[in-house]
Amino acid sequence: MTMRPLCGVGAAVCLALALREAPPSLAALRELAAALVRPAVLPFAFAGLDAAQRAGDDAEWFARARQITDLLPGWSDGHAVFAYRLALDARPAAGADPGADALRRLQTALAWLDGARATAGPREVDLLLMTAFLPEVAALQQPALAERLRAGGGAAALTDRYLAEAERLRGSAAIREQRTFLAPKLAAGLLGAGDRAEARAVLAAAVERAASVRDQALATEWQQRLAEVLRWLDGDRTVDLTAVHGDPRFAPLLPYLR
Amino acid sequence: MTLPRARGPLRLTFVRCLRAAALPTLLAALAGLWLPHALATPLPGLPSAAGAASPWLQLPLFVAAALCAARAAGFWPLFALRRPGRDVVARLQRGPWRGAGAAIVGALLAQLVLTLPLLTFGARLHGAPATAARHDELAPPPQPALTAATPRLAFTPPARPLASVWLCPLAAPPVGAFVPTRVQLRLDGAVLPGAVATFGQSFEAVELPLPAVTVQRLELEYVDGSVPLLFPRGAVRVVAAGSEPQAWNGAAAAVLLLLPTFAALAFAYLAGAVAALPTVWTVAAVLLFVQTVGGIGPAGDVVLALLRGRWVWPSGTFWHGVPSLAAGSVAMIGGMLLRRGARR
Amino acid sequence: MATAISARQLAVTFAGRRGTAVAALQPLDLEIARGRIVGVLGPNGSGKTTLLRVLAGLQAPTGGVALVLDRPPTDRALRTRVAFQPEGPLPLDVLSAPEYLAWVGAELGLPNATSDARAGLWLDRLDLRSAGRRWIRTFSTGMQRRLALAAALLGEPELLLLDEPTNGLDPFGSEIVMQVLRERAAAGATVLMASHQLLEVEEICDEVLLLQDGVLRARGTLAELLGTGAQSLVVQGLDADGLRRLGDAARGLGGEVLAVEPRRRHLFALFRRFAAPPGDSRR
Repeated sequence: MTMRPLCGVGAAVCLALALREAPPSLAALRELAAALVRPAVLPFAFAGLDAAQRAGDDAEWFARARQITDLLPGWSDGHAVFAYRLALDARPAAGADPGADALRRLQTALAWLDGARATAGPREVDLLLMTAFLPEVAALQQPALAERLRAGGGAAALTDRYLAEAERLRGSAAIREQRTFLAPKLAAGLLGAGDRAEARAVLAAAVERAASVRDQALATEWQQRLAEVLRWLDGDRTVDLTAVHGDPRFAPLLPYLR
Repeated sequence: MTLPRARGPLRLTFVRCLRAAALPTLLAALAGLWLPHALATPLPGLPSAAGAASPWLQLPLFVAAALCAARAAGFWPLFALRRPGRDVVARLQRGPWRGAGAAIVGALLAQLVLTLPLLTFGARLHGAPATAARHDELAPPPQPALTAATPRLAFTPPARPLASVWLCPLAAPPVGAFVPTRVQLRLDGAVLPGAVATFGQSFEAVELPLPAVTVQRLELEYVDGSVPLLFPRGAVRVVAAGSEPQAWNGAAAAVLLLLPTFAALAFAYLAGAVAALPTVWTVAAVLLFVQTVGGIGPAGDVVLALLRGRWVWPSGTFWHGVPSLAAGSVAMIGGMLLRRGARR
Repeated sequence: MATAISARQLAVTFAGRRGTAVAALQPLDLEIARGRIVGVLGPNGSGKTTLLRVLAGLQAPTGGVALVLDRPPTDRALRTRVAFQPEGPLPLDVLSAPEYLAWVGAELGLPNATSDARAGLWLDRLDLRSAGRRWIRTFSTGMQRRLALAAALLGEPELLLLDEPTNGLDPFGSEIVMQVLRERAAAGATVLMASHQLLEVEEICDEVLLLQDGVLRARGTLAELLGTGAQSLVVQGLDADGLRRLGDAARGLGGEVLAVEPRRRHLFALFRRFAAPPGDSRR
């Protein structure tokens, strides 16, 4: 007896079980097609990135970069590199207001990185940390952008938001300390935006968090200086701010401590 | 109606290549149209550019070229050693290449038939503009640096009305404090009002519109700034006024895209004098890949020019095909001589 | 009689490993008259194929000289006058049999109508019509050999150089091929065939060349090479006593009885009876 009919029946049963377990969907078909063409398309996509760079065509470069991250959604480093470049290096549109243009690019870059979180998998926290420092770097590099961000509490407010999310996902000591040391900048931004109460809350929280800084000497020093600033903001003009004035980490706050 | 029976190596190879490559090329073309939309995650605020679609257009073009080349090399026995019936073919076939040349032409014609619709009509579906404009890269002067010490660079544009000029210089490290360098455009010695571009770093392309007149001399004049600028070949490009039909542009692109396949098959033929079919196929595949993706050859530039709406026929892009043509021709002659030596 | 093939001191040496030389064909002299069927016999590696390839112009001799139809073998004019059928699979095996013959006809410079007419004739004659539009690579070995012979015959050549023409053929196929070769020889063509099928060579060849290690060990007609001087008398209807008396009579006439054995039919007769389809005239 030939085995062919038995094999056919076996194959049909396996297929039916597979379809029951994982019913076909457009998304699955799309994923399959993408997996098949990805090796063929990516070399062209990367070569095209260079071509766009040589031609000085920003629009094409970013469209290609987006295409590459669409093909490699889990490549969080790639998302970060392209988004940083969009926020920092892209040329302003001709005739556009530099601040508005920089803000638009930063918002687009942050949206890019936010979108990448869904596919970053175990690297989501790393992606969040890379995202966190983008607003600060962009604001440092483009004063017009810093001006635009002032009303919302400055770049540090955005940074803190991403650090908070990273801390929520992975409460590592390093992330907690980064947020603690960001407090002067964040408070300065809030004071600049006129939100004195929120600035005070940030500093108060930082005083509490400073206790958990791993370097005990640094923890004590930081806690002490934050407390002095807090007392000054509460109206205590007897507090001695000499140490704070001499500490570059508190430089953003100095305009509000006179 | 029955078609006349294919009898010679050209027509036989043409038919076989067409049969082998038609369906995969069609599937690749459909995937190239569907997948960019299916995979794209829209991002408001990100600019779009037709040129960015080039990988999706190159996919079916590469499939067509690779399959035609593979089929031709596998079909015609004289492409490789130890192929069945080599003696029969070598004895019957006339001409210096014993039919291998005709087989290559057959493969190229099949590729042309497959890629012509992709490049004339398919490119439009990928966002290529309806018309193309002539772009000419201007030859740089011997010392292409623009600085305070050498404040003028002169270029000679082609004798046709121009619509604009693109400047995309390389920037050297600034001399002293960083101040972007401003460049003023002069036409036939006269300052063009408002035509000032500012450059602070490399690869910043700026387009300056021109009055649609014929210009004999185009000059770049240093105004101020601390960034020395270099204008090598390709850094100054003029766009002609008026437009050309994109269908002809696609046809020209299809012809130019034959050159990498020709070079790949010619080197495969050369390798086949001493190697068997797997090696011959590998040589063809690697050469095709290197010429298409590696930028050695016209393929990448041609597709980009088409999607960006640049006229490819005779332009810098067109001349990028010459090395492939020359290298392929030399390989064909080498393959012929090697085989002739082997018979002695 | 006109000469189809002549060779003087014809030799072929291949370069071996580490600079050694392998003599595929030791210097040999050869003359083959037109219209003859000549078999080339010899064990594997004896130089049969090399000899055919040299005469077909595919292999340059390293010594001596050969003339085929009074021209050097590499003369392009011989392309149509001499047909060469090598051993092994056919080229262009993704073509059908009619397509393959159309290509051969075109390369021989035959007008399309003539080529197609002759192709049709040989496809029928060599029993290949049933293959239809199937690719050659799906053919059995025997079908491929028959198609190769059809291709060789398409140009009506004056000289046929055949390497193992019946290898892999069933007895019917061999019979057709033998018949066709006899017809071509009768029409004036010369056939030089290398073969391991000794019975077929014995049946069809006028002359035989025996090669061993590239050396021509013997050549001549079958009568010259196989003749023993004895004659045989075939009788029927005698019993044992009759046979004994016939032997005595032969001895009385000065002869000698070498063997008395029953006469059998050829095995092919039995094969034909069982393997040919019902109604086939070959049964």
